[in-house]
Amino acid sequence: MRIFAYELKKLWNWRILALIVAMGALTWFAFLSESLRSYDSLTNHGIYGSYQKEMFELYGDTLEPEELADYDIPGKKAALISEMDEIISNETVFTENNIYNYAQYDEFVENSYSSDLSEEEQKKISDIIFTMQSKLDYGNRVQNLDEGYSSPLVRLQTLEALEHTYIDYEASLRRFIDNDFRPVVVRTAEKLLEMRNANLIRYDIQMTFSLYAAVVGVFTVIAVIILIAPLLTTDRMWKLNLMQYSSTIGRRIFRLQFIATIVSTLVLSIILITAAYIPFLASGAGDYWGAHMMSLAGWGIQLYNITFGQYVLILAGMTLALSVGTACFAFILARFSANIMMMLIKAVPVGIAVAGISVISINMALMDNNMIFSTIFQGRIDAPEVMVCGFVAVVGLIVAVIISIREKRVDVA
Amino acid sequence: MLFRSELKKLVLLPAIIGFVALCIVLNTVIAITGYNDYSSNYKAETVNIFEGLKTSEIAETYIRKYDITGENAENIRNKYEKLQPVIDEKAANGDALSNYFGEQTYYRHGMLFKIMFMAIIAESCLLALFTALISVTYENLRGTEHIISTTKVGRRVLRTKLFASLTAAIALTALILGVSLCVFFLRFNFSGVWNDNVSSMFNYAVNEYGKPFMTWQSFTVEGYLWATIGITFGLVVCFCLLGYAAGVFVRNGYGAFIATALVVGITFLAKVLFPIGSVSRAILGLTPIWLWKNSGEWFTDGGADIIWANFESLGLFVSFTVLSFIAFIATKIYKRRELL
Repeated sequence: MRIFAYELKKLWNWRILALIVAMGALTWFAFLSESLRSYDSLTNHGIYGSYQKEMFELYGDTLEPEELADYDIPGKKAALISEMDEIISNETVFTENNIYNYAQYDEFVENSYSSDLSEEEQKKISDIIFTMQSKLDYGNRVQNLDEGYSSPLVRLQTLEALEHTYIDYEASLRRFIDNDFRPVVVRTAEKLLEMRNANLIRYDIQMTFSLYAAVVGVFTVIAVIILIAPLLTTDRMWKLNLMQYSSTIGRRIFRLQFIATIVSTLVLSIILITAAYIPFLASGAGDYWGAHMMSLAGWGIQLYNITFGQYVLILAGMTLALSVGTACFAFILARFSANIMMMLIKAVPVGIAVAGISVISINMALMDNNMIFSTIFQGRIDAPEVMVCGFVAVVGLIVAVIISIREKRVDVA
Repeated sequence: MLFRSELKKLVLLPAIIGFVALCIVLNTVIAITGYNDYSSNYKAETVNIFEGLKTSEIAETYIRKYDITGENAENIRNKYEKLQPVIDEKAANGDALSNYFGEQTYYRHGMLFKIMFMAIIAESCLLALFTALISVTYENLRGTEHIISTTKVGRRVLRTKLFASLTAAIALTALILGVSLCVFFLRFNFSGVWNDNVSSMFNYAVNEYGKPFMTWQSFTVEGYLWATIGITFGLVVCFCLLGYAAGVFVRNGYGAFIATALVVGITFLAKVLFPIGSVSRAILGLTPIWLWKNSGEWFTDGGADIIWANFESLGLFVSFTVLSFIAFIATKIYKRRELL
């Protein structure tokens, strides 16, 4: 146990920890804080404006038919249309073109796209529409996004998006069922049709959080390599391993070093994941911890009806698995490197490869547009991105264990 | 003799050979898996898009898009003001009328000059960094530093090590570049487009679909390829100098690598902390890591981040000068350093 503690002490070098903290601070300011700002902005400035958030606060996890009726989307739309009718009747740009209400404006815009007009006429019409639109969405008068989203036209558009998602979703789901070549996506679309597209979780939460988690994943992999790389290599470089092998503990030291490597990796990864995830969850995402995720929304289909809390834990698990895999590979490479430079020249490509796997597996994980799920596995099997992370960890562990067993008999002279 | 043995230490190292082989395999995979549409008809009607193009409108689009104000906005306006005569000349020469690959141009150009070259440059620069670090820290890691220092050549061995690592980096880059481009051109036939202009109306600025590919000088595809190769080698030299300087300063292999990674990482991450259009952000854009990141935009006006013409040449010159100076200082310090 004492030797194990010494090995841990060798690994947790304060200079390396300071370096990891410094890099973490830079990553925070350069990427993660920006991602949080974007998440915060989308609370009220996404495709549904602030309506989806309001519905979640009013009705909770799912939207029941009576709650949908109570929210009265058609009534809200009618109120906005009458607000715009009033604007239209008072503005000359509309009356000059014989437009006296929103319905006529809508028809005018519709016809302008379908008409067979010359380029000059098209430009003239576009300019008129632009002027009209700026009266309804406050155009150049808008100083910030809040003002833009308070205009009647933008509010109407966000309500239409909401209506499309929670009332008229069947046509979109049918398109997936009839045309999509990916069996898992078709199965999800069928299930959604059967259970109603009624989950009120924020449409962007999975995409924003998965990208955030992917950046955390890449950083964790790099931090693990930085932490693990020197242990075995430095011992071997100074021929300490020969002294260790001839001491009382003998070659068991190698197994102890491996265990210390894995324990340190798990501890470091858990600290980094926790430190990074807490600010995201504290920024409002934590409210959705128990909310179910399967839904058809702006970015595609969320494939499984797990809660957001379970999703967070799955992504944390994927990051942990990749970290363990990276640590095992770093340990193996260190065993076969004469010095730290030889170790690094091997570890850098491995680090880049695992970081790449982290990005393509964690980003958009469990969504229909995840790269591993959609491009590589063509949507044929469930959650291949999670399996890939597990595979990296299992392969790393198996090879490291084989090397540990082999070390008992190998010639070290 | 000394140079030969230093060079041999590097190029015959199994880890280096393995790294080069891995790079070639990766680039081959990129070239082979790249989508190649053999059935496309590449001929299409061309229009001189540069005629009447107002570069100030591009500047204003960026300024509106990123909400840039004050001096930062002026920096962007100044760059596009300087670009206007270039565009007028392009309009007069009919650069946009080149067919290149017709409607396949954006994809194929991007495949070569963005994806392929980004991979090649990243690999070559890493290789340059490693050759310099290995060469400089070699004696320290093996405990032969003191013996070497007492020989006739003494601490001047560093000069030989620098030349050896530069030679190895350049030679290995040439190997990676040569093999990778051979595989790429076997897969994608460029034989009919070498004399076409890269500013063809079918080409767009990388990552900015809709904005023309506007180079500060008129380039044929062949000329653009050679110019890109030239800057690639320049970056390789810069990374070699960076590795050399870090290796001489820190001496400990791991510390030197971490120091290099830190320099590269800080310049990479710090740029996004400054506002778009600012001089600080533009200066960080001239660092080797950002030159690599923007490799698809070399010789063009670049994005809103870039406020100077020919940023790649300027960046290369600045990086080379600064790194050469640092390497020189490192050598001077090392000559008087206590080795015990």
